[in-house]
Amino acid sequence: MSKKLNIKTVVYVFLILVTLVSALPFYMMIINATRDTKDILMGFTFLPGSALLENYRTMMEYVNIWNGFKNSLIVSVLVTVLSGYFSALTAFGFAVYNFKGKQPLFIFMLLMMMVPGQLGLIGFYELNRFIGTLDTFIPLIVPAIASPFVVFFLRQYLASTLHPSLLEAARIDGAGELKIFHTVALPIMMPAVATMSIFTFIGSWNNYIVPLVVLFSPEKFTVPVLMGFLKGSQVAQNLGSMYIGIAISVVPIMVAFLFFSKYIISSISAGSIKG
Amino acid sequence: MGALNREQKDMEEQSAKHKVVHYPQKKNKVKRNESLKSNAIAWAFLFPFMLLYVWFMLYPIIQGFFTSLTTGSFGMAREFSGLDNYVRLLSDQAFWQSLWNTVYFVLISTPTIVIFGLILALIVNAKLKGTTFLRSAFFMPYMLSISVMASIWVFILQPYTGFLNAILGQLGVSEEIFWLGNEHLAWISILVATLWWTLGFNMVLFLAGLQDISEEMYEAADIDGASAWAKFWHITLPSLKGVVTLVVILQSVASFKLFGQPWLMTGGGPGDATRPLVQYIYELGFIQWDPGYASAVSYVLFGVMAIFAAIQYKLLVKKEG
Repeated sequence: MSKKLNIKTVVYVFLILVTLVSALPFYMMIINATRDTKDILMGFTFLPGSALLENYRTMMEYVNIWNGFKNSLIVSVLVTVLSGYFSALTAFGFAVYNFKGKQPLFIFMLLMMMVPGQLGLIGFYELNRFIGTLDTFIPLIVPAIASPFVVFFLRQYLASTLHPSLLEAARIDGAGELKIFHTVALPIMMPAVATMSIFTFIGSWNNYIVPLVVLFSPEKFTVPVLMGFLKGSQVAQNLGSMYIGIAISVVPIMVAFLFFSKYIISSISAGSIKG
Repeated sequence: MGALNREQKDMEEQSAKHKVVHYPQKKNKVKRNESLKSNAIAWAFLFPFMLLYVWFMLYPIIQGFFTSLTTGSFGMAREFSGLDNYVRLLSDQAFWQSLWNTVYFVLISTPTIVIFGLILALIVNAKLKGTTFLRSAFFMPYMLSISVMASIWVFILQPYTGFLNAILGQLGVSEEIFWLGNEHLAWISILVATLWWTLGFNMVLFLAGLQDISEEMYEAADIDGASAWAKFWHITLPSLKGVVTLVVILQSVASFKLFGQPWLMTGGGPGDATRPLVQYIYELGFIQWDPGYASAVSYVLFGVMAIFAAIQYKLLVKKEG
């Protein structure tokens, strides 16, 4: 009995330590956002300082973090919605119809999932330079609509949930194929689309190298590029302002995560088992 | 991956059934017309995806190969130079260094993340109080973007003003430690930051695998008087094979793509001791404006990844049978 108790204590102590390690950087960041550079240089305290507004003003003189937020939101939301819809459409095509070359095409796409996007980075840049879409959101949004990973997942899901008899019934009722997709298949796929949306959103929100390469104007920067830019700019001398920039870009995500964390975590679990 | 195969089988059965519904006999002429029509409808559904996929995914990769055979900057006339760029690689010290750096990171990060992810998952899967909260706490860093994560860690690790050295100072360490300025410490820093960032995600994947194992197996083992270690070794670990495969593949692909952490934390330094291949590609392409050579390096990265994927496939997937 006492041995069991000891093990439990050890596990709890370990867990508390790991939690502290996970949480401490967040706490440090928020506290330091309220202190001025001189204070920060003096060392860390657990109590907030009084320079919050001043730090905020200094940071806003250099970069408009809210604008970065807006850009990131526009890109991520559009990518999530569009890739959800078009991936569902593609998955439906793969799951429901038999056509020549379906199997080889699908296997080819599976193999291509292993190829990192970076391989085409140079060619991707040249392509966008050629069609004149550099320094716009188009290279961030449009290519991301075609996501083989999401198609793969949705096709597997559809194959196990959509019964052919449902389609036949709809066809007998005289519904067109596109209408069948919208009224029969899409509602069935919605839970899986929602799951994939989380992956897509996180992926798009955190995408760094593509926006770094294709965006030039600071007012178009997404949050990750903006933060990298901030780090290399003069404002990096002002530690308090740096901290507040980081804090602002983190806190909304943290709040959203606290609301949805259970759903997100269970979705990812479901995703890994199904996929 | 076991689940994957199962699903694929299900799917094949399903589509086989479906095939019967659609075309009972292929020889029938009317049915053949129908099959043509079905082909057309299928392609109509796939068209938007395929267009974007070919245009933005495949074309840049193929274009990259032709670029790798040329010299000249962006927007200027390219000169065909054959395999010159690839020959140049052979004697490029910086290339070999960054290739080794990438492989090194894959080798140190993959096992670390798999082992720590599994340990965390085992703990939060135990019937203890507060594990739901802990799962969220461990997962949270994964939601941060790379540059935010890197900025946080730079603040923790930088000398004189860093959080870690401040704490060490208060604990009585008088020496100033340059976490990002020493080759070995810089790699450890990058690894720890990556671990902090991605561990929660991998933990959740393992957790899903753990919750898929049926209770009955453990109950049966209890009746046989198996020790906790024996249960872990003979029930838990074999059942997790599929998830371990998934995590190893996902993690090694992610590690091959390593860029943001060193780029933002160490700048690839000290010297080029932590500069990975993707950073070298980025610098060649977008700082030195040498797309031909950058493309050649990209193709080497692709080749190395393909070799790794083949090895992993042999070791992990095939064994499962």
